Amino acid sequence: MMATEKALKGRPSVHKKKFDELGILIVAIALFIFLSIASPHFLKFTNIQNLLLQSVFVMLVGFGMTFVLTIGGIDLSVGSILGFSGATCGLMIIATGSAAAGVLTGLVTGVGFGFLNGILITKLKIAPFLVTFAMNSVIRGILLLTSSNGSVSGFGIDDFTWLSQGYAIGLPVPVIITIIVFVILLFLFKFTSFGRYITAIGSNKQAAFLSGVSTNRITVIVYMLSGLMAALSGVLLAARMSSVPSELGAGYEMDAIAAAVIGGTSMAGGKGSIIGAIIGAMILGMISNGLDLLSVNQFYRQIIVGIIIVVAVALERLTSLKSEKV
Amino acid sequence: MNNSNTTALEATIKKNKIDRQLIGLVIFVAAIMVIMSILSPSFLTASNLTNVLRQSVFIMLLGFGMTFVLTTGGIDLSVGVVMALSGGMTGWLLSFNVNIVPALIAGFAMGTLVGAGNGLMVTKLRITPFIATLATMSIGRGVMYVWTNSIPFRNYMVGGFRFLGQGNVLGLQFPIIVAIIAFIVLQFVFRKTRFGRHVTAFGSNNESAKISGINTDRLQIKVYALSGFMAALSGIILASRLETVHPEMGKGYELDAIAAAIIGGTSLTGGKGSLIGTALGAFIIYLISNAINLLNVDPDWETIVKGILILVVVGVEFLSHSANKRKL
Repeated sequence: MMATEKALKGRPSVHKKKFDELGILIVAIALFIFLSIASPHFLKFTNIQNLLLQSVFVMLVGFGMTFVLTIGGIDLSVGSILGFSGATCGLMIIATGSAAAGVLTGLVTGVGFGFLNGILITKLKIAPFLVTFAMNSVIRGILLLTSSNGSVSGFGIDDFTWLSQGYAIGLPVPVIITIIVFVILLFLFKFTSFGRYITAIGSNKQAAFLSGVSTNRITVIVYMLSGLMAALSGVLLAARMSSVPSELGAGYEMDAIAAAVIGGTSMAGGKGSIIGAIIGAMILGMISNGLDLLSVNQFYRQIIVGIIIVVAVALERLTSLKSEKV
Repeated sequence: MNNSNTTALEATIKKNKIDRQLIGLVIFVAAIMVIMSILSPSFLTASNLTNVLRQSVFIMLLGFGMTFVLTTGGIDLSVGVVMALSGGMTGWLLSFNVNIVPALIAGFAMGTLVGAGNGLMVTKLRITPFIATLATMSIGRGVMYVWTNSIPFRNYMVGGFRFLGQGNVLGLQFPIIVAIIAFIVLQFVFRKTRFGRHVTAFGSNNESAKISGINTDRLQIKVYALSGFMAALSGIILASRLETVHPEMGKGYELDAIAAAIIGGTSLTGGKGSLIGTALGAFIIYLISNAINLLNVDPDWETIVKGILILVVVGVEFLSHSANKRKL
C-alpha cells in the first residue's frame, strides 16, 4: 500500500520536469566554454572532429547501457562483447574478404551474447550483475584463446576501414552512424510501447507483469540490444585500428555506465535518458581531450571523472528528494 | 498467516541453504583434489597446497570485508584501489625512514578513512553503493598515478616490514596466519555480536531494521570502513610481499573478492553471508588456476572457467531453491 502511494505521488513530479538533462547540459556547456577559452586549439574544426570521434565509441555502448539500467539491470559484459565482436568481424573478413559479411558476423556475435545474458537472467533468475560479470570473464577468455598471439589483424581492407576512417558530408562516418543510431533509439525509447514497457518494468516489475507486459521477453530484448550496441562499437573500433588486440574494450563497461549515470539515468531503474547518455559521453570525451590540449597528465582524468560522477549523482538525488517533498 | 513464523521459517531455510552450498563447495574441492592428484603428482603436496593458500590470502582478506558489505545489500568496488593506496602509504613512509609503527597506522588509517568516505557517500549523499565506490575506485587510481608519478614505490623493505609478507611462524607463512586470525575475529563479530546481527537484519530488510531502532547510517559507515580496513591489511601485506607498490596494484582484485564471496554463498541482494564460504571461494579460485597451471593448459582458460563456475554455483543455488519451494 505504502509503496503504491509513494509511486503514485512520485510519478507526476517526474512528468512535471520537462527537461531532466538541463543540469548536466549546463555542466557540459560550461566545460566546453572553459576549454575554448583555456586552449586556442580546442575550437578548431579538426579537434572537434577528433573529440566527436573519441566519444562515439563509449556513446554507442552507453546507449545500450541506458536501456539496461532503465529496466533495472546492469551489463558488465559489454567490454568483452565489444572486443570479441570486433575479433569475429575481423576473422570473417580474413576468411571471406567481404566487409559486409564481417560486419554482420560481428553484430550477430554481440546480439547472440546479449541473448545468452538475457536468458540466464530471466530463466535461471541469476542477478544481472553476476550473469554479466561472469560472462565478461568467459567472453574475454574466449577472445584471449582466439587471438593466441595477442591480437587479430590483417583485415584492413578499404571497404572496411572506410567505416571508421572515411568521411561523409564533412563528418567522420562513425559520427554519422552514431547520429542515425541515436535517432532510432530515441524513437524506440520515447515513442513506442517497447520503450514505455522498459520504463514500466524498471519502475515496478511486479506491476508491469500484472498489467500484462511480458517482462521476460522485454528483458531479453534489452540485453540483446545492449550486446548489439557493444558489437557495433567493437566493429567500428576494429575498422579504426585495423587490428583487434585481445584487451580491446576492457573497462568500457565502466565508462559506459559512467556516461549513462552522469546523463541522469538511475542505477535503480525506471528512469533513463538517451540524450543524457550523449551528454555524459561528451563530458568524458571533453575531459580527455581537454587534458591532452592543456598538456595536463592523463592521470588526472580518472580523478576528475570520479568527482564529476559523485557530484552529478548527488545533485540528481538531492533534486529528486526535493521534488518528492513538494 | 503468522508473519513472524514465516520469517523464522525463511531464516532456517536460508541457513540450511548456506550449509548445503558449503557442503557442495567442499565436495567440489574434494573432487578437484581427487582428479588432480591422479593427473599431476605435484598437486597433492603440502608445499603446493600451502602455496595456493598463500596466494589466495589477499583475495580472502578482501572477501571477508566484502562479505559484510554484500550482506548489508551494498557493494564495494574500491577495495582494489584501497589496497594500493594503503600499501603505498605504508611503503612511501617507510622509504623516508619513518618508524614502522606509525607507517602501518597511517596505512590502516588511509584504508579505513577511504572506506568511511564510501559509507558517507552511500548514507548521507544517498548515492547507490555501486556508483559511490566506482567513483572512489576511479579517483583513487588517479591519485595513485599522480602520487607515484607512474614510478612504483621501492626501497622500503626495512627488516620488520619484510616479515609481514615473507616471514614464517610455526612453519606457516605469516600472511596465512593473518588470514586465520582475521577469520576467527570476524566470524565472532559476524555471528556473535550485535553489530553482526544488525548487518544481517539491515540487509534482509532496510526499513524494518530502521524502524526497530538501528542507526542504519552509522551501521553502513562502519561496514564500509571495515571493508576499507581489510583492504588496507591485504594491501600492506601485498606491499611487503612484492617489495614494490605499482600504481596499478590491486586492479581487478575487487571483482575476484566479490566472486569469492558469491561462490561461497553470500547473496548480492543482501541479508545472507558466510565467511567460511568466502574463504573457501577464494581458495577455489586459486585452486583452479593452480590446477590449470600444473596441467599446462593455456592460462586463458582460467577466466573462462572462473566465469562458468560462478554461473554454475549460483544457478545450482536457484534450482535447489525452487525445488525446495515445491516441497513446502
